[in-house]
Amino acid sequence: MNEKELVEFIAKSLVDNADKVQVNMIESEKSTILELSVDEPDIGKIIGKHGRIAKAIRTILSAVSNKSNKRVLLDIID
Amino acid sequence: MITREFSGKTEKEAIDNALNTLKLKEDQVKIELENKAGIFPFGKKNIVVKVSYDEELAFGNRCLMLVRDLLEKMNIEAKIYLLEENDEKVVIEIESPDSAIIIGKQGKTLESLQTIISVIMNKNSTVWTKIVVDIGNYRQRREKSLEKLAMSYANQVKKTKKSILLEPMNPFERRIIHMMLKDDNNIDTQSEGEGTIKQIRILYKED
Repeated sequence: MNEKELVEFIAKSLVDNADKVQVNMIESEKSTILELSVDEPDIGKIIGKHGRIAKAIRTILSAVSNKSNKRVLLDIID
Repeated sequence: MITREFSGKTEKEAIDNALNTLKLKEDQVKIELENKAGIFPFGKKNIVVKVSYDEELAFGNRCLMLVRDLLEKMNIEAKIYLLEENDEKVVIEIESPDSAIIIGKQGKTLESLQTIISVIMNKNSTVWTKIVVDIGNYRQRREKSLEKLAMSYANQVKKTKKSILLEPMNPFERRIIHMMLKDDNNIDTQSEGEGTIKQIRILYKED
């Protein structure tokens, strides 16, 4: 399972400027942190009203990472 | 190729209407003007354009592809079907041995998938098309069990005349409960809390 690719795919589909989507993966023993950055005007498209979209991405991430017993955290960098 | 007609007061409005409904860009379609403006400057109310596009670009089909790609990236094996497609609503059904993962606790993962897919597919369009993603009739079963739940709580409230606060629910689920109990003369329902996930309180009222 490649969480990085999944986040990249979702983010690129959501934004206007797909070229500016970047995901950095920082792995430690117990968790994986994914740092997502997008073009500034696109940040709202990733977060959504009341963080609805960011929350949905995190829910999908945790659903697939439950299998691997490792926590996956998503950081949206602005 | 699929060809459809769209109308508007001006040529631009007709084309905008077509592109927003189909969620396509101008370079993805072929546009023909049906009745030339200017020939009858008075009397003609609407401009009609004929818009043609590849079948693969049909909105329902693109929704299907997105669900397929997304599940593939999630490493989930699934078959995906398009159950319903019109300009207002698209219904997609997933069939998968991993349905428990796709649904998630209280349907939260399924809800999140539907949110993401809806936002992606309606991106940059002024016309919002509702996209329903269902799996193994989960929504239908959830609807039935919520209706049962509503009835049993309502009976309890009528017996004890004390209000009951339900678990947090999304708007779709709350609507089912409100609708189910709205005609009951001894019962009132109200939503409590902030944001999209609220709790319903079922209250007793004198007839």
